[in-house]
Amino acid sequence: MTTNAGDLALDFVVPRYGQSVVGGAETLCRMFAVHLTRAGARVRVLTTCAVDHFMWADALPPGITIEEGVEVHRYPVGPRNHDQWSALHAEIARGQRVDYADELLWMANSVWAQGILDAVGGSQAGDWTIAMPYLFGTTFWTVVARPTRSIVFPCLHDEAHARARVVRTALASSRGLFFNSTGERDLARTIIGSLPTRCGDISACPVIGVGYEERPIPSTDEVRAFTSRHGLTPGYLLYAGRREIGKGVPDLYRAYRAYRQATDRPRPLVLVGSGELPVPDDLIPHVVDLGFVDHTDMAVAYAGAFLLVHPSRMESLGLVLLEAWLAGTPVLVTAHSPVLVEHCTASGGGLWWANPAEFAEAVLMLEESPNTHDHLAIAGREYVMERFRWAAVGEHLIDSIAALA
Amino acid sequence: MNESDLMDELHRRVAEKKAQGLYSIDALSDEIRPGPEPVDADGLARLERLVDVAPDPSVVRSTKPVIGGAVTGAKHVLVRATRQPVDDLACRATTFNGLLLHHLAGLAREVALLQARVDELERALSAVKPAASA
Repeated sequence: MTTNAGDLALDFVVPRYGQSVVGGAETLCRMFAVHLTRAGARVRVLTTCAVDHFMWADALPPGITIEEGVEVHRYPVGPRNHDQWSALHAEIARGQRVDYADELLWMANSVWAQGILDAVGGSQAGDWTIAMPYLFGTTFWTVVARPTRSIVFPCLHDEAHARARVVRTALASSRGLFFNSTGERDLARTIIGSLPTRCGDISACPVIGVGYEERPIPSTDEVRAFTSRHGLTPGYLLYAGRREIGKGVPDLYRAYRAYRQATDRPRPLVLVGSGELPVPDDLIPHVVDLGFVDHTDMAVAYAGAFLLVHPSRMESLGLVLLEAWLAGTPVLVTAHSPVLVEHCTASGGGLWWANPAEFAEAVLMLEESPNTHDHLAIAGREYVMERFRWAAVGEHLIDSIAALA
Repeated sequence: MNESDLMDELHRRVAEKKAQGLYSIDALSDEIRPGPEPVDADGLARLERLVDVAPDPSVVRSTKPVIGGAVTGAKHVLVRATRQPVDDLACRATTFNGLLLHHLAGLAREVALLQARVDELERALSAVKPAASA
């Protein structure tokens, strides 16, 4: 079955949105919105004016803008008691028993916007409301407001918050659950357990992933221009993502330290993305912080890296892996993320480390064997081109939405 | 080589260098994220050493001249006679201390985690403030 995208009117709900917003679910939402708009669907993105995902302060003006061809509606963040949210968030994170009323309070004080809820339930509402990720009030209240027309991309991580009853019931209530990987779908099945689900058998829910257009690997000249602009030499280790404890960045620093101690000629570690987690003092001279890098330059940043290193165990897809492979760069990921390891085993495009010694030896092993390094790079790119082409992924997404009608 | 062979090779290399003592215990330990160290970790360590409550048999011995032997004998009789209730009390006190210390250590870890979270949020807030006021 192939449905015409032009027949679909879709509202995407996401807590923050924009090309400069760093975050897996946010990026995924933007990629879907842009692709489906180009494919002819009537797409609106309903989001808040916030950019920072800690305090959720309004930073962008409310109103409608057109971004990469997509109609984006921004609304002020609704009233929330941050301290109350923070206390409950921490209690749930520790696995402490929190009653259902407090879980609702947790969601009530998460990020949300009255304007989003009005739009979701308004006369201009799309046929379907697609919300992501699971953790935020924007998604939860959207499902509460319009369960029979809600599709959730939960972007689940195996963490205590995902097991909260409000999360489980919201997922179970939504008409559709779409996943980024089979590992994430298996996790959802475990978490939702025996709750009756509006979407039916979770095992039959679609795994969508994300799509890419084939593009050439950035040229050596492009890489040289990028690296010289930033005072770098090609062949660095690259981390791309938010710099947070939850993303495993302290583990990366620990592993990088072991690597530096294991070789006389260590490569620098280059960081791309946002976050306030400080670099340990002893590593400061060896870590280069590029901050936010735009989409075009990002492909070149990947191409200039010897390896993309990814320490996060909280992943439902691992966009940066796919983008690194697309740019011809192999990856080294934490062994504690089933999703990332699954990508590596399926593609043959990367290795994984369980402790700093393994991280160090993996880098050294690939340094000693350029053929193996190149083999991983080729296998990774082939994997993305085979499994994550927009033509197939977009069609699968559109058909999966149409199948819910 | 497929990725399975490469991982085997990787593990072989690590084992070889571990045998040569080239990696520290820290570098070889699995990355189960420990979180920040609990507040007042030294104080907790001192308390931990005092958790066990047990009668000290050395105090039974008397060193008084002449009557020391008789006093020691009498104390031994007293200790034997009260062993059951004293051991019971010591057992309960040790259990209580252990539970209390466990609870304290948990709270100390929570305080450290919260402090780390507050620090993280304050840094985020200070990064947002200039942008908001600009």
